[in-house]
Amino acid sequence: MNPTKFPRYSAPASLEQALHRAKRPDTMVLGGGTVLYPLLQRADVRTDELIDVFNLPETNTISAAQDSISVGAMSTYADILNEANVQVPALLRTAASTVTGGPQLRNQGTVGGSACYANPASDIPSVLVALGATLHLASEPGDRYVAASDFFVGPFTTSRQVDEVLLDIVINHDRSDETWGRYKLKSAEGSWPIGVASACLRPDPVGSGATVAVTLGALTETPVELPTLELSDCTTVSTAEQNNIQALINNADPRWWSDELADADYRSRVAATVATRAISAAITQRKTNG
Amino acid sequence: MNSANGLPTTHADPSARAERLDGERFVNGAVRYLGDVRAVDSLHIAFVRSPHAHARIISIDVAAARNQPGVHAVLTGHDTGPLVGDLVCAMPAALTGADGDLTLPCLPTEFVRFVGEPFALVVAESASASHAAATLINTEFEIFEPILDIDSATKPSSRNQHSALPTNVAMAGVVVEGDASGAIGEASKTVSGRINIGRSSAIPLEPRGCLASWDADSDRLIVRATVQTPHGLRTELARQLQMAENDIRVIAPPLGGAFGFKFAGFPEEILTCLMAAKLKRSVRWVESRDEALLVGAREYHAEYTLGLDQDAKIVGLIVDLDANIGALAATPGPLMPLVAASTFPGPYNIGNVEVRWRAVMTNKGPWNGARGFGKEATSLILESAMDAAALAFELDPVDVRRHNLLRSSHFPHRTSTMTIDSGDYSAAMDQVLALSNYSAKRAAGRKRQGCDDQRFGLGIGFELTPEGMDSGGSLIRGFETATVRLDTSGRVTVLTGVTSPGTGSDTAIAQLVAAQLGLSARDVRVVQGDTDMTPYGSGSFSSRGVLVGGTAAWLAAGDLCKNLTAASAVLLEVSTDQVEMADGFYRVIGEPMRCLPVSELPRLLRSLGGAIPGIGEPQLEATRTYGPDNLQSIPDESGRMQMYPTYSYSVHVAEVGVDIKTGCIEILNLTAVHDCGTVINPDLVDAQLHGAVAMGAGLALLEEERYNENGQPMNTDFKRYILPRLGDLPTVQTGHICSPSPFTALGTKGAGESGVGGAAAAITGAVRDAIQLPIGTLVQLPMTPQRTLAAIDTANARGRS
Repeated sequence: MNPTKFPRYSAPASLEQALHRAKRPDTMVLGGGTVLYPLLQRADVRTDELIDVFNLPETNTISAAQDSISVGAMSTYADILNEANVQVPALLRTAASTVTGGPQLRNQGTVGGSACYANPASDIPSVLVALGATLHLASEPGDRYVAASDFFVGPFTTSRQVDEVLLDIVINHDRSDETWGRYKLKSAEGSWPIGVASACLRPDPVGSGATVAVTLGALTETPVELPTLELSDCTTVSTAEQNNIQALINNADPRWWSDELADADYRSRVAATVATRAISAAITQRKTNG
Repeated sequence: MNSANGLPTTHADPSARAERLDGERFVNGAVRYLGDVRAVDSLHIAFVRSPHAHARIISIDVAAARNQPGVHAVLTGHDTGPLVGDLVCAMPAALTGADGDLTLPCLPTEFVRFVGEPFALVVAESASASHAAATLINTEFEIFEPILDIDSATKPSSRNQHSALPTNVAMAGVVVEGDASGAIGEASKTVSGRINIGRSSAIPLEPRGCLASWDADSDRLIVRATVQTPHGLRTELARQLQMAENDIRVIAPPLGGAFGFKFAGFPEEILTCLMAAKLKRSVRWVESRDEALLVGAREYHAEYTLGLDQDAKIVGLIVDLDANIGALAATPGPLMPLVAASTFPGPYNIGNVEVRWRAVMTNKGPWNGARGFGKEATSLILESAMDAAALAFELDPVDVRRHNLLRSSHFPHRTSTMTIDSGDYSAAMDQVLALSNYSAKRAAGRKRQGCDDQRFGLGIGFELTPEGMDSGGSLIRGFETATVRLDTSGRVTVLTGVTSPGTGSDTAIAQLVAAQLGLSARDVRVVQGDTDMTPYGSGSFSSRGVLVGGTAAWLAAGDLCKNLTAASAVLLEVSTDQVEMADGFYRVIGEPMRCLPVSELPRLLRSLGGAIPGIGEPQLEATRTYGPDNLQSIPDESGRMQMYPTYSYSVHVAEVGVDIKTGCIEILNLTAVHDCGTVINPDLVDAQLHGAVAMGAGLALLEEERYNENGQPMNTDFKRYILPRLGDLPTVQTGHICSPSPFTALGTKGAGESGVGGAAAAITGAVRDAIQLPIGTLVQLPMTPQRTLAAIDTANARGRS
């Protein structure tokens, strides 16, 4: 309600300068700004200085190594979608293409920014957990690599320390025997996700069955990886298997998320449906791939 | 097809199509909204707003704020009280029970009544300086438990919200026709139900704002404000600031939507002007989105009982309608429940009706107007009752409506609050059923192959939309004045008291004037929204821009046409009856080459008027005032009053798919057939109908301003207050019926407002159909996924039992 004085802004040209600034109290690292600018405008958060890491080459490239790719933290959703040289995992591309918002948001919002904001009701955290991604954090004392499943510790809370800058996210290549499916539940175009699930389907080497690993997001305070589920027929999810999904969720006993758009009761009720539909999406995708 | 007066009469007439004159400027961003206007040296006002829903102000310490650099003034209610008159509420004393008008101070000194109520102000060099200083104001409150719902507000022990009223019922009444209780008592079947309409508002993309300046050259106050009613604002400013009206100029810049949200009556504009007058400086205020979302416009709880004979003909209707109007406001908003009640029984022929209604004050944000102005609530309640009746008789919802709709032969049809002018409801129903392919869709059923988790439903919604409101005894009147002025370049300027809320109604006014004078609409400039330039007018509300503003201009242009015809006859040396006007020429009938172009006549008249025998003093300007018939501002011998002269209507069909596992609803098809009498510009009318249908979809499924138990608003931005976007809506199919009003000069009825309630009712009915919601189950809007899942549970439980 009360836009007060805007903080200082700096855009260091080198990582060394950025880390030096990040060490100072009351500074904040700026990603795409699609969340932070409105929060500052409304004085919902306050800081003395914004450190824009856009100029750092470390945050700005998408590159491939032998078994993995590195996605710079400042890569926008549009960067993910437009990347021509590096094979970005299909799940990340799908998430980037369905993120709530129009072209402005896809051109401005960043994968690293979304990860560090750790909004339970968002797309990126559970995608990074599902992909087994590793987050590369830098600070003056040294670099740290944190698994996504350890990075998201609570609603709007990560294991990133205040003086750390997220440089890039390392993701292993898709395995040739796996197919990804994703389902996103929301009430309208303008709604943030109320539930998302990513399913990784791996047909058994012998026989017609498959295993499937499901990661839930937006439904819970932090992403939840369900134990691997066996499908007796890799072309369908039977009623018994749907019941198994519900049982796996019940066993996981996650902390359900509640916000202005849906409460915890609703989220817990639809979780198994969201998970099942992600598996169905993976099955459909596998059929499409032939 | 043209009528005798040369005007297009149907939507199908291609000659009526005209591009919106200012459309390109809006699309390419050339239009300057209020937020784009910046005075070089303007100061900025920030309002200090209550953090509590209900509290007594014990003390306000402004010393720290006053000492901030760049701060020019800090005022509380104690300071502004002697400087500015109170706001006066629009509600008639006869309905409030108060002794005279209800008033509200611009800034309260004793109590705050909702989160966000301004109770102090800061004026500083910059917006950030004013807001920073505002945060330094230290206020001590005695906090009370907030009153958020009608039950708590109407308890005898409930804390009183206005000292001039004995209870928190700000206004109440009963609309009576015949003997509803008696008729229902003798009916062969009765059907009862409940519907709650959530709190929502009109939400124009452009919020409110005001830039007030003191003009030292003329010693006048110059006000730019996002208002639909610039003359109304000037009148109130004059009264509250104790100035003469002609010492104030109010300009309404182009509006980025209004829909009733921009009626004057809130304190911010008045206080911005007060500070400009006091400091003799420009002072600027632009509302933020969270401030805009404090304002409400709907929250209704309704219970209905229908009595029907064995043929499903309704013999009686009783409705209890409660509106939670939040904190009392001096806007027209609190009048909406009165309009909602007065619009019963809508398009239906029901002889015995009793609507008991109350407008109740709580500690939610105050109301301003919103498109539908209560009539959308009437439609939702009536159509909900119709759907329940259809279930009770195991009839198709279409059939129960057909049994009960008024027939064309009934018009004009008198009720205790309306005289419905004209229409063909049956033809509109036929058209919407055909356009929507209703029968085939109905036959397809609720379950469809390959969609195990989806149930499909069809709904129909009728909306009667009384338009062109006239409030006799107030300054908000139904008539309008226009001046049409010809210049020597052969162009026309129209000065009109109606304003454009962004609808483009000025294009239709230009078309009407151009048609009278033989010019193109592009030759006509319509001047609106400037109290120095236009006649005193009531502005834009109730779909009146073309209905009354257009007709007044059309009449004035007709007077000019007569002058030009007479002068042409003299110049062409024939008698007046030998001259015709066509295609931009005044010519001798039968001798097409003997003619004078319209574009040259003003110059000829100005140079030759009074100099050539037969041509008098050149009269190149005409002014007319026009108001429609069919109004009853003063009660007749039986006490009947009627605020609306014209009765547009629309009928809608919606097809939805409901995900029974998640409660998410997809709107698959929307069809609307609309009748607003004579149509001047079909594209503009269609665009309005599309917008109304989208608003109806929002009302039915998405939009809600919720509060937590402390009375804090929860939906403070567009991530939390969800509006329908393009992807949420199918392509809306529209059709038109044209039933000219016998009570207006051109057969026009109000166009622009109709469709919100009808579309919402059709969508609501379609969801009920899809999930087979039993009779008697509460219908709660918006139907969020969570509520829809709960409703599915209810339906399933009832189905099992």
